[in-house]
Amino acid sequence: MNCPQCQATVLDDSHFCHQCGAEISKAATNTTDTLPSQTLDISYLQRVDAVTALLAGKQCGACGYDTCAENAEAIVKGQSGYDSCVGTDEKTRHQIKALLGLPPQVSFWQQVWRWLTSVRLAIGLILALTVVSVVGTLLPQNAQPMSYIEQMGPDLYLLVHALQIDNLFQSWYFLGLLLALLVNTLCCTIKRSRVSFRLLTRPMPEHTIEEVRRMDHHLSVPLAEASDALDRVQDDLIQQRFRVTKSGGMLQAYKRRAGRLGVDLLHISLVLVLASAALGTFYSYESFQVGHQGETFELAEGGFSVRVDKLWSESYASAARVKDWYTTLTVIDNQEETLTQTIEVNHPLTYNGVSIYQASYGSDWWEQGHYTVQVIRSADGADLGTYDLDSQNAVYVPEAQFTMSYVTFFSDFSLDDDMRSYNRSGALNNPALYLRLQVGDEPPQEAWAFSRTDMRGLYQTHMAGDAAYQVNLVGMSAEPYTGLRIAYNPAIPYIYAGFGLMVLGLFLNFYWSPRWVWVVIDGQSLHLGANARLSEQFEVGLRALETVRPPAQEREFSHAD
Amino acid sequence: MQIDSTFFFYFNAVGYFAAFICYLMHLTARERTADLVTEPSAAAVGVKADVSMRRVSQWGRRASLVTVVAVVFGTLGMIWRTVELSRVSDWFIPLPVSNTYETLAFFAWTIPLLYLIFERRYKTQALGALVTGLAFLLIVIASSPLVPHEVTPLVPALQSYWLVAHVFFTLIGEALFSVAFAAAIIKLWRAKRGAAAASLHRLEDISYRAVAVGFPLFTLGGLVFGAIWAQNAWGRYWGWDPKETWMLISWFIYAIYLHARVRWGRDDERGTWLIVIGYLATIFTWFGVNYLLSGLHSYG
Repeated sequence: MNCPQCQATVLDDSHFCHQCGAEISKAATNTTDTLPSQTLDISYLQRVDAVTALLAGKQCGACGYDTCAENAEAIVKGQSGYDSCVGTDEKTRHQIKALLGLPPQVSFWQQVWRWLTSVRLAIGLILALTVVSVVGTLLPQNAQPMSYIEQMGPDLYLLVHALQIDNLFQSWYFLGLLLALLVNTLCCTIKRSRVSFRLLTRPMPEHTIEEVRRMDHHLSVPLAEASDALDRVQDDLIQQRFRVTKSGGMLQAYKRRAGRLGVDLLHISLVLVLASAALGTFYSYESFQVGHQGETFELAEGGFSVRVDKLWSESYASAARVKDWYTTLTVIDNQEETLTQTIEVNHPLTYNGVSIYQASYGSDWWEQGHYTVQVIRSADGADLGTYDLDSQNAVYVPEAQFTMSYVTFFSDFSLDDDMRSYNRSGALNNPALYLRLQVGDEPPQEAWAFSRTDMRGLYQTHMAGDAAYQVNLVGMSAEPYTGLRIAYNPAIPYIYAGFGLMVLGLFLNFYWSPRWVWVVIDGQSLHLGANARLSEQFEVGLRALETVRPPAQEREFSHAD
Repeated sequence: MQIDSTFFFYFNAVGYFAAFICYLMHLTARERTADLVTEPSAAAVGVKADVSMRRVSQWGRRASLVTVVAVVFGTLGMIWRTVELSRVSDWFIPLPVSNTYETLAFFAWTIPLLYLIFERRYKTQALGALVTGLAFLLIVIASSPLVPHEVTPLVPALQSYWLVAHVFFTLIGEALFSVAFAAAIIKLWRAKRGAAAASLHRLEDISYRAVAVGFPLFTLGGLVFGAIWAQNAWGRYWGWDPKETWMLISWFIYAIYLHARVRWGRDDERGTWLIVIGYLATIFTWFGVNYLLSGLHSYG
C-alpha cells in the first residue's frame, strides 16, 4: 500500500503515513461484516474475542472499563451494553448485537443503571433544557397577570399560566429536567471515576501488536537494524517528560495523567453547584429597604439592626454623570455597635451572612420634601409673601385665608397625548408641586405650582382657569434616601467552591489532557499507538519516531493548506 | 483632525477589509488548484496547477501580512482607548469594555489575533476570509453611526474589576468559537464539494481545538465571573435574565457538541452543525438579546 500524498510504502492498515504524516483513509478497516447465523453455537471465549475485535480498540475507558477487552467480556456477560463503546458506529453496534444472539439476562436495575449513566441521556437532557430555556426568554417571566392579558387575551393567558410558561424556570418540568441531569451526571461520574482511579493508581496495561495497531492513532515503521530502536524511542519519550516503563519488547508511556480527572471533577462540580443552588432557595431571602439619614431598621432574619449614619452621591469631575453612591452603615447587634462600614455599588457589607447592597439613591421628594412657595392674588397681582411647607405639614396663608397642603411632587413634569400630567423622570428638569387649597368649609381646590417661568405662563393661560390665586414654586429641597438591597444566601460558599472545582476540572481536561503511548517491537517493525484526543497530540509519538526513521524528505506543508 | 482611538479603529476596518480580499483571492485560487489537481485530463494541467499554486501562496502571504498590520492598528486603538477611558473614569481600567462600541472593537481585535495563532499552528489559511470578514463586519457595525463612540465614564454598576475579568474571558472564548465556526463552515462547504477526508479532518481538528480551548475560558468568564460579579453587585448570582439565559443556552449547545463528539465520533456532520448553531446562539446572546429582548444587561 502506498501513501496517497508522498507515495511512500506503508503497512497495509496504517492510519498515518510514517514519512509525511498524512492520514491514510481507513476505508476497509472494519472487515467483520459477517452476521453469524450460528452465533449461539460459538463458545463464550470466542464471542468475547469476536466482540473485542469489533470494539474501537482505543482503550479510552469511556465505557467504564479499563481496557476494551474487559468491556467486551462485560458485554458478553450482559453487564455492559452492546452500544457501550463510544468509538463504534451504528453498523458495528448492530454486528455486536447480532453476535450476542439472544439478549443476555440482565436484571432490571442493571438496565436502569446503564440508562442512567449513558451519554445519550445526557445529550437528550441538555437538549431539552436548551429548548425550554429558549422558550423562557421569549416570554417575559413572572410579570403581572394584567400585562400578559393585555398582550395575549385572557384565554391564552390561562393556558400559558396553566403550563407555567410565565414562570418557566421554576416550573416542575424545568426543575425535573435539572434534577434528571443531576442524577445522570452523578451516576456517570460514579462509573467513570472508578476507571479514572484505576488508571491513575495501577500501571498501564500492556497491549499486543494487534491492539496497538487498532488504536485511534497508530504508526508502524519498518526497521532496518532494530537493535537499539526501542531505546532511542524511550530516550526521546523521557525527554518529552513521559513516564516510561519498559518490559521486554514493549514500552508504555504516559504524561499529564492527572488530566484524566478533569471530566470527573467538572461533573462533580456541576452536581455541587446545582445541588447547593437548589438547597439555597429554601434558606435564602431577599428584601429591599429605603433608608434616610439617622434611621435604624431591624433585620429580623439576621437578628441585628442597622443604622444609616451618612449617605451621599459623587459625580465625575469631567462629566455631569453619577460616579457612585455611598452609605455609611452601623450594625447594632445586641444593642452594641459592632461594625461601621461605608458601602457603595459593587461593594456590599456582609454581617452574619447577610449582605447589604447599595442598589439605588435619590432625593425623597415624597416623604421628606421641603418646599417654598410664593402666593400671588390673580385679581391685582399682589404678592402675598412666601410660605414654607413640606410633605407632612400644611401651611396657613392669612391674607387669603386658605390652608395649603402637599398632594404630590413631579420632578420632571410632562403631559401625555391625552393631556394628562405625569412624571417623566427622576431628574429635576421641570419640578412641579401639586397642592390642595382649602378655604373654610368650601370644597377644596387643587393647583400646580411650577418653578420654570415658561411653565407658570402656560399654566395660567391654559390650565388654571379663573383661579383666584397663583402659586409659584420658588424653592425646594429633600432629604436623600438610599435604596438598600438585603440578601442572605447560605449556599454561596458552596456554589463558589463548586465554581473553583469546575474551573480546575475544565482546565485539567482541556489544557492538561493525558497522553498514553504504547510501543511494541517485533522482528521487522516498530509499532506505536497513542490514545489522545487529537491527532496533533499524537505528534509526540511522531517526534519520538523521528529518532528511528531514516532521514527522509522534511514534512512539509504547502502554503495552500 | 483630532487623533483619538476611533481613528485607529477606522484603519482597523480598512485593514480587515484588505485582508478579507486577500484571503478570498487565496481561497478561490486554492480551490481552483484543488480542482485542477483532481482532474487528470491533460498534460498541460501540471503547468497550470503550478502557476495557480504560486498565485495561492502569493495571496496567502499578502493576506497574513495585511492581517498582522490591521491587528497592530487594533492594538494601538485598544491602548489609546484604555488611556482615554481611564482618564475620564478616575480609576485605571485595564481593558476598555464599558459600552457596545468598545466591546465590539475588542472582539474584532481578538478574533484575527487568535486566528493568526491557529494559522501558524495548522498551516492553513482557508479560514482567513471568513475570520477577517467577520472582524470587518463587527468593526464596521461599531464604527457606524448606530453605535455611540464617545468615551463616557463608567456608571456605578460597571465600576468593578469583575467587569474586566467577565468581559475579557467571555470574549476570548467567543473569539475562539468564531475560529471554530469559520472552520466548521469551510468544512461543511468542502464536504459538499467532495474534498478529501484528510482536509476535512484537519478542519475538524481546528474546530475541536478552538472549542476545547475556548470552552473553559467562556465558562470562566461568562458563567463563573459573571455569577460572582452579579452576586457582588446585585446580591444574586443568577436571575434567569434573558442575557444570562442565552449565555447558558450557548454553553449548553457547546456542551452537547463536546458530548456528541465522544458519542458520535469526529466524522459525524451533526457535530459540525452544533458548532455552527452554538455560534449563532452566542451572537444572539449579544445582539439579539440587546435589541429584541429586555433585561438588566443593557450595557453592551
